[in-house]
Amino acid sequence: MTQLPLISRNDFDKTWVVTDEGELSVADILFRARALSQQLPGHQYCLLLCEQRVNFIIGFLAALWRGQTVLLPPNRSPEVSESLIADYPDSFCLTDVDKGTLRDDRSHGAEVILYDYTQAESGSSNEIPLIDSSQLACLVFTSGSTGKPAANAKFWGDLVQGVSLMQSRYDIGVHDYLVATVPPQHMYGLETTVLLPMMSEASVYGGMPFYPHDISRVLGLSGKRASLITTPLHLRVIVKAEINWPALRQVISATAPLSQEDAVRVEQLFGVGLREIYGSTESGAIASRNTVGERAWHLYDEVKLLHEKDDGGMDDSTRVIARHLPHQPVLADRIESIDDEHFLMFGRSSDMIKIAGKRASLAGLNHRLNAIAGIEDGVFVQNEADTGDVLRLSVAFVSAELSSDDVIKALGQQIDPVFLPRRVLKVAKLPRNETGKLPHSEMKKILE
Amino acid sequence: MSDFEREIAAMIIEVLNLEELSADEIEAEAALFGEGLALDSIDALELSLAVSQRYGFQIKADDADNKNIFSSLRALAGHIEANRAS
Repeated sequence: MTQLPLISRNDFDKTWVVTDEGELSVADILFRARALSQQLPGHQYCLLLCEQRVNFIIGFLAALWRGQTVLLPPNRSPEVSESLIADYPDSFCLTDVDKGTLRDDRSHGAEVILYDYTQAESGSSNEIPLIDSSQLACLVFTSGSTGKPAANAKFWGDLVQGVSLMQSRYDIGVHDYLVATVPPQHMYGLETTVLLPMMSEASVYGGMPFYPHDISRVLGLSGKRASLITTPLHLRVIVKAEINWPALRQVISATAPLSQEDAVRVEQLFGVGLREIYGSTESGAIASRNTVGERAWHLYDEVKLLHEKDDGGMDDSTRVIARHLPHQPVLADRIESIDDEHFLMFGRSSDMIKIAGKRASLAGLNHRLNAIAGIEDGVFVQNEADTGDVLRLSVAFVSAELSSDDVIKALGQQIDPVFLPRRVLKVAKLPRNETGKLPHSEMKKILE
Repeated sequence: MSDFEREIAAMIIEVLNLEELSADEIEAEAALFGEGLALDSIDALELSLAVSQRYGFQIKADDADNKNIFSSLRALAGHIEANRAS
């Protein structure tokens, strides 16, 4: 059986994680990870909810060290955590937030371990364990609206191989300090800010700055020029925030495509290159582009695309072919290959929508809406995006007894907040045609 | 509701395109996130930008009472009033 080291860096006295309290070296992190791995309860699954990236990294290493599988939820809501604990009974929960993780009456008896690296014993260690390539390292969940979160299995050897492709594309290493506005539980955040520093000599900021002022401060915390790892949502706000920014090495964006105009603004603001990553939870990152001047995405080395027709010969679907993706995941976007290495991407296929890096199907959301007691008929509608604004949803519904507030409340208990409708309209009836369908033009009239 | 709270309510409605609401319909003490208006972190980011542009200061996560800033219209208005540049 092949074994691969837990980390492929041996710069033990160099900085791995930069925090507001100071810097943690590779040896510091290894010591804490080993200590934590010995304290973890002996379960198969570790639901890893840590908000601070430094605690997440130590928790992730500790669980792998212990031979456990890390569960990564699409968000940290108690509802999602409870549903995962119910589906994976041999679990415990590792978090750095001391309340609101699981509600006592619905925790299914799962143990909650609170971890804060500042409270843990410090020391240094040069011990790097070997991990079986076949170890199920983590299950990354997408926030499926069709019911339960859907699991994507990631085996240790495949994760290492995928990240090495990323590393050779970006040449990330000893000169890099990574600052990210994306959570480590998301596949993009996991690959760039957890796995990449494990497999290179890069350092990473141990938290997740959110407001522009905080992002700017954190970018300047290290002696190295920072790489900002973020999303179109954040970049739109960053270019408008009138504050001073330190010199950067590069800006990396993912989760949704960035427009040429926004990309140009970002490069002008920072005076450095912007690179976009293309990927999905199922496939991980598989391509990149230098957005200013490039429409086409450049596949990582050793990654290929395979286009397939469905049974009716319609609707191309695209599979990803790569050694580290043995299940050959299907991409949710419409893809057109230019040549073996380059492709164009044209948004979501079918009825998938994506907001803030989270995906749901409109059919699934409609199913949930119509399952609410008291709803006679209801539908989710995508707002026409005006000016490249964030996509938002509206709902129109028919009900004798429910108010718009009731509907929002009921939906709020079931779906991720990003999918909650901005506008909720109560109507006498929906403009269904003879076949029961809702023509988009009619819905638009209602919502105007 | 104070005049300043009404001003902030109008800003929230404008920035987040909640055009079917009027300022008076946002309750001063009701939660902005989760229940109530059901806003989320994307909205917090948009609002932080509007606050910096209109009131001349940056909302920071390391403000001691950060979790409370967006807890209600009243809390947000109070925070802006205490920190505004002019």
